[in-house]
Amino acid sequence: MAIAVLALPLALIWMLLNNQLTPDSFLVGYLLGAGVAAAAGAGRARLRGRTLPRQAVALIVYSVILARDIFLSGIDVAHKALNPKTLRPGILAVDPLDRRGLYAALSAHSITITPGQLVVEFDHENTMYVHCLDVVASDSTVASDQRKRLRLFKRILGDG
Amino acid sequence: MVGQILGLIALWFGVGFAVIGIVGLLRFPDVYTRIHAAGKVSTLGLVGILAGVALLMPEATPRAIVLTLFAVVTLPVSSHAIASAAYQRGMRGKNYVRDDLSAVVGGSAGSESDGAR
Repeated sequence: MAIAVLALPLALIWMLLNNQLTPDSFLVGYLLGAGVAAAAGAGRARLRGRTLPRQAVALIVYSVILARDIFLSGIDVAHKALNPKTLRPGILAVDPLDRRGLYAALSAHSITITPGQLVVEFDHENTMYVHCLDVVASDSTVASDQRKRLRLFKRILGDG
Repeated sequence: MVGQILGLIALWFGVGFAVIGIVGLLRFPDVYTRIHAAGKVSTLGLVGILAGVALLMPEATPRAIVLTLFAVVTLPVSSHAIASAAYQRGMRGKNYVRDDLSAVVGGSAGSESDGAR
């Protein structure tokens, strides 16, 4: 069930990559996508039709927020690159708020995508150590950013 | 026509960010700040260039969109791997305001910096 649904977006990506929006191309992409989804362990995933639209909306909301963050902080980092004296680098410990590996890994990836912050290391309790270009400014925002991020991740994964 | 003008703007935006990324790579003081410049600012550069391609070459638009997604999703992984390897090799930043990680890893005495030249 989950494999049949997850193969749909993969088939779409296949068609876009090949630049062929034809039924033939969709069929090939769907079969390959099903194989990839099965290999990635989607057979164990549980999809509930009722929450699926909400999860898709949350994913879109998250993508838009991420795109805005990448753009705004990219400009900020570019400004710092031209004025290296404004750097206040440092490493902060950030509590992921949910210590399960999946959420810690997703949070770390999300933090690292955003320019200006970079996860260097985890400790044994999955606390993240984040390198910031401006540690003073980041210190006041990382905790609340993480709270918002985790709420979105949970909604995307249908986990509360 | 409008598409071409927008495409050129996107292209120059991307090239500009790529250049700034290299400037940052050269001027930042240590490994970690340099990873920021190389990995992050260049992401915006790549996105700009691919957006330009998407607008200027309509036949390549879907491919440019998918490539943008792949690049944005995979770039942080290499940034993280390089930073983690550098810290475990004992490279410490210079003039850090704060370093919460050194207490955990047990920083080497005399806070070694990387070979910044």
